[in-house]
Amino acid sequence: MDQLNTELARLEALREIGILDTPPEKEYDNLTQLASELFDVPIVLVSLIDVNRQWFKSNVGLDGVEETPRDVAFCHYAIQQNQVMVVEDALEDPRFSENPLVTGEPNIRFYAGAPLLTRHGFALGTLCLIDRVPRKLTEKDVKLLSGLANAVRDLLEKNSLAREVMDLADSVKKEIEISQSILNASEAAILRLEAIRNEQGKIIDFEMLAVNAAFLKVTQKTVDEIVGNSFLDHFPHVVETGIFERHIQVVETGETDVYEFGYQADGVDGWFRQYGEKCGEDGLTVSSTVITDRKKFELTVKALKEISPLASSDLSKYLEELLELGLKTFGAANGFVSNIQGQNYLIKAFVGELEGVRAGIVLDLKDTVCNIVAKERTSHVFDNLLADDVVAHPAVPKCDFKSYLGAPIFVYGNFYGSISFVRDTVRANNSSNIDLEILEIIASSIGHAIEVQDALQNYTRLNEELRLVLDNVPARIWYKDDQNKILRANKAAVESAGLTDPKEVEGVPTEELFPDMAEKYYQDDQVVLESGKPRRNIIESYAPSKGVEGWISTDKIPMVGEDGKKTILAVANDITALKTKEEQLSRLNESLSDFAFVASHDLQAPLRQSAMFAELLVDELNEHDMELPETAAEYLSEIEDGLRKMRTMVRSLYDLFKLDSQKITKKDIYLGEVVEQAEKQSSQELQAVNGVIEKEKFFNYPVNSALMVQVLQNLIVNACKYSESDNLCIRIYSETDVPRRQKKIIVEDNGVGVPAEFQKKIFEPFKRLHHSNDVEGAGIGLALCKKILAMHDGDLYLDSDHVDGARFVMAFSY
Amino acid sequence: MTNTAILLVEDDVKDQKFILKALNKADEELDIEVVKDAECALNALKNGTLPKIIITDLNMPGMGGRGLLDVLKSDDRYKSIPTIVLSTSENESDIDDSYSRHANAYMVKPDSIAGYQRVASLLQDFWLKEVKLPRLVAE
Repeated sequence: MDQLNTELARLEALREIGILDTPPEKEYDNLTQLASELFDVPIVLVSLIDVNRQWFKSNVGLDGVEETPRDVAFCHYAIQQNQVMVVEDALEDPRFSENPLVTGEPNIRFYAGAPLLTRHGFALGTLCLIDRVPRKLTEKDVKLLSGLANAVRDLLEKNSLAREVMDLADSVKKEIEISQSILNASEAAILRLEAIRNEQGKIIDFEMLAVNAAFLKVTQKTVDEIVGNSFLDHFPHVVETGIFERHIQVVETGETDVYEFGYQADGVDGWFRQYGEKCGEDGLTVSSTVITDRKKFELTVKALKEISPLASSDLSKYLEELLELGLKTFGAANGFVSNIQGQNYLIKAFVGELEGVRAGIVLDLKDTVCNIVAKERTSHVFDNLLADDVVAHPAVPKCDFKSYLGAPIFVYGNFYGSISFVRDTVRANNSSNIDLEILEIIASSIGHAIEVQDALQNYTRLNEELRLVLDNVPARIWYKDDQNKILRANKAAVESAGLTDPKEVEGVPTEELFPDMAEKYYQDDQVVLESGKPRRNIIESYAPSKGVEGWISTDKIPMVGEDGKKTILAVANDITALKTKEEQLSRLNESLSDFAFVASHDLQAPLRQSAMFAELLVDELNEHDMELPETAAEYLSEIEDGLRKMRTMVRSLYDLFKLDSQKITKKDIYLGEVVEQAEKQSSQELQAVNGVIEKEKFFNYPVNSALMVQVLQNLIVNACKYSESDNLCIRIYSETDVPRRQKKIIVEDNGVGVPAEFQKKIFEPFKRLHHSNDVEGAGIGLALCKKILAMHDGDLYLDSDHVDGARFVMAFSY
Repeated sequence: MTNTAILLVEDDVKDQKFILKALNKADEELDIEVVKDAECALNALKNGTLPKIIITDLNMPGMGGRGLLDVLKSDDRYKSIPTIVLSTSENESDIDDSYSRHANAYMVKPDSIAGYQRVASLLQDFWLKEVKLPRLVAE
């Protein structure tokens, strides 16, 4: 080790002793005093060499001097050798002759220093003797000085040891304080237990070694009651709760134990989460967190869940159950649910002991503490209604109760009323927050319940209305699943199947009700379900196992049921009567039409021939110059006339019925062409009355053009026949009638028009306005025209609003 | 071999009377053979009757006027004989059909005695007087 390192290690050793700058101590002073007398020197020092000074632990003869600089110190030299250094006369020694301590005060002449050598060989300083006159030391003196120096050294080492112990004690004390404060700062109740075993080594009890403040608070006991005492004596309830056994297991197995329990005995009331951990050889530390609030919350919420607003249709019963729960949870005596409107406080439900209070009573809001809840729309708790700040509150009225807990109820986001609890005693304030939270949950449950009730009532009413509507519809409505099973049906449907109660058919397979038709219905269902498109107007047989058979027309509509499954809505109308009538009518029509057609055809030949024979009769008479008597001639003429008329009529009838029996072909053409054609074919009649036709734009429509020309020609010729003036003007134009979805061709003239009393009759066969002799024709024309239009899904009618002439409308549906 | 001018095929006895009366009024000498249906007409032809023209009704029992046209116009011996349809029908389809079976003319039965006389004189004036007819050779 080089010199520097040696010096650094020496200085470190000096520090460790911790002697520098400590106050004088008697033990050292006694030794220096003894040396002064023993060697008869005026100055004796215990000098310790620091980095750049020598510091005196003990000092005889240099009063007031605590230290001197190291560079002038004799001891600086003394510690560099491991034996006593003696300077008999400093003036004679070249090392010191110029030293200020020699040349000036304290005028050192003699110096003898013995190093204070530690066990590790470091010279910490010296014990030195100083005189102002030169002296000599005997060998015996040197030994003695050396011995004294060892005594000082021993003293130094002893002191340093003591100081270490004391430091250690200090730090231990501090650590204990920290631990205790940590313990006490913990909210958990902590208890240290040490096992007490019987002779067989079985744990029969625990000694309570230590506790923290929280434990004392929870158990309401003092340290003295706990520490050093029997666990079972103070907490006997731990046996039946199983806690004692769990503690034993922790000690025996060393496994940490976590456990939640409620403890209502031995002066303790609450719920705890306990953590037991083995500690030392034969003990354990138990830390218990208070979870009473959490447990209360959990239990209340659990109870809340079990009270269902749907359990009964009676909302007030639900409210009462909630109030009962509140009374239990909050330890209150009376609970209210109110509906607040304006200043009216209507009690909806009440549970408690107050006389004369019940649901349905209306109080003045200002007289209830709920006033503040209604005003501020927030929950409030007053642990003591008599407290100064509460009494002074303007929104809190005076009342007979001591404490209050209340929360607002909101329905669909709007303020509805309040739920509140009161009691005649002041509340402990330690659980106010959790109580408010629980109360708010109950309040929102009530809000939801009212909403649910409301929705349920709406739903029920809607359902009833719908059911009523469906039951009053004459159509049979079946709602089925995709496997031909009936889900629901309306009254008409159920009755048609020979049953009375709609519930009877719910869930019943269709085969049961319609054994013969079920398969057909099922096939139809599948087609609709697969295509996803409704099928309308399925005409099918209806054959229930009970009930009346017949024909129905069914619409099948694909639907989606509540669980996303495909369903079918079948709406069926009984068309039995209709179908029967239709068939009868169709048969009747057919035979009538056939008869009329055949008759009108077959009658023509004999009529024609009869008329001609009448002519021949007249010819024969004339040829033979025979003259009939006047009356007979008149009769013959009448016969001829009648036959002619009859022929015309039969001919017209034939034309009319012929139209029925032949299928007409239609082609989509521009109707302007038809008008042109009709005009051309009527040119003779037009010329005769000097008539003109004004035409406008027309439209395309699928028609039988020959028939349509016939209609228009008929109308034009009619206009000519009834013109009665020299300047007939016929206007033919088109119009679109959006409300009726009709496209029209209108034929309008400025002729005599049609008198009101004839307007309907002109479309009947054989009706004419003029006397037969004035105007030619059988009078079947317009009837035929109307029929032709009907065969084009249209109509021909006279616009009675038109007064200056006639206006005929040919209307086509589009 | 007779000198038959007209072979009249008509099932209705009354109509026979009208046409005969009208034709005779136009020319009393006219030689007219009347048969009651198509089958009889063909028999008459087979038996040597060779008329200048044939006047036939359409709707008759048996093969009817249409059948008669089909047979006549497909037979080299008869197809050149002018065959005139005289029917009550005004149906365009009947008219078209008759011409497609190669009828030489189509006339509608008149409604009056005057009408018949007009038809008779037209037939006579046109087919029997004015028109040059082909030579017919009897079997």
